[in-house]
Amino acid sequence: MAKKTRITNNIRRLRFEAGEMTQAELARKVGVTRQTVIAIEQGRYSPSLEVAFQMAEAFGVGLEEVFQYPKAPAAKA
Amino acid sequence: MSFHEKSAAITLAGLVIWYGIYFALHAEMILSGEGVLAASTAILFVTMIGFVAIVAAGHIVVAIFMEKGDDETDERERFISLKAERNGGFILGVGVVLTLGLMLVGATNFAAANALLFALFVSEAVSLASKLVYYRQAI
Repeated sequence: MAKKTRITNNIRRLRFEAGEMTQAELARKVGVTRQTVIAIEQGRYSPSLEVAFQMAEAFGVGLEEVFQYPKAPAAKA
Repeated sequence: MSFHEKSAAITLAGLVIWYGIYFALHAEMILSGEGVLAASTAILFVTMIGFVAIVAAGHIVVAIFMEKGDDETDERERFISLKAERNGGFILGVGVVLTLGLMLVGATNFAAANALLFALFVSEAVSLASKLVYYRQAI
């Protein structure tokens, strides 16, 4: 069974801030299915770079405002 | 649920029901190798027709009630299909090799034909079941 991705996202918040955009509306803008948007929001699927950039463009923000990757913990001295 | 997910569920159900009945009816014959291929052709024909009919009917019902855009395919759908087909392909390969082994030890044509059909059945079932799992879980 695949592990859940470590990539986190702010898609739900950004949808709300974008005039309460629905998942279906975001899916239409990006060119994926609604189920894919749901899977991405829930961390069950990591989108391709192209889809990730399209999502950022749909919200009018930078990529890192949409998706975040946790920094590796600093190595102990 | 997307149309593709419902399609996988319907096809898996039809496969398990119809081919499950076929293999249950033929189990003794297949295992003993005593069956005659020509004699079970009619049963196989009925099984195939029944499977196609039930799957077609199920898809028509789903298509009538589906929402606009539910049948679209995107990168996640293609990724899920690829992973699922890889699983099914592996099972089919194992089944073919096992059938070759059966033939080398003297299995009848009837047993070999049904072994191949069983391998195809299991590989398709694994592929469809894999799709259903991947639709619900992290991939």
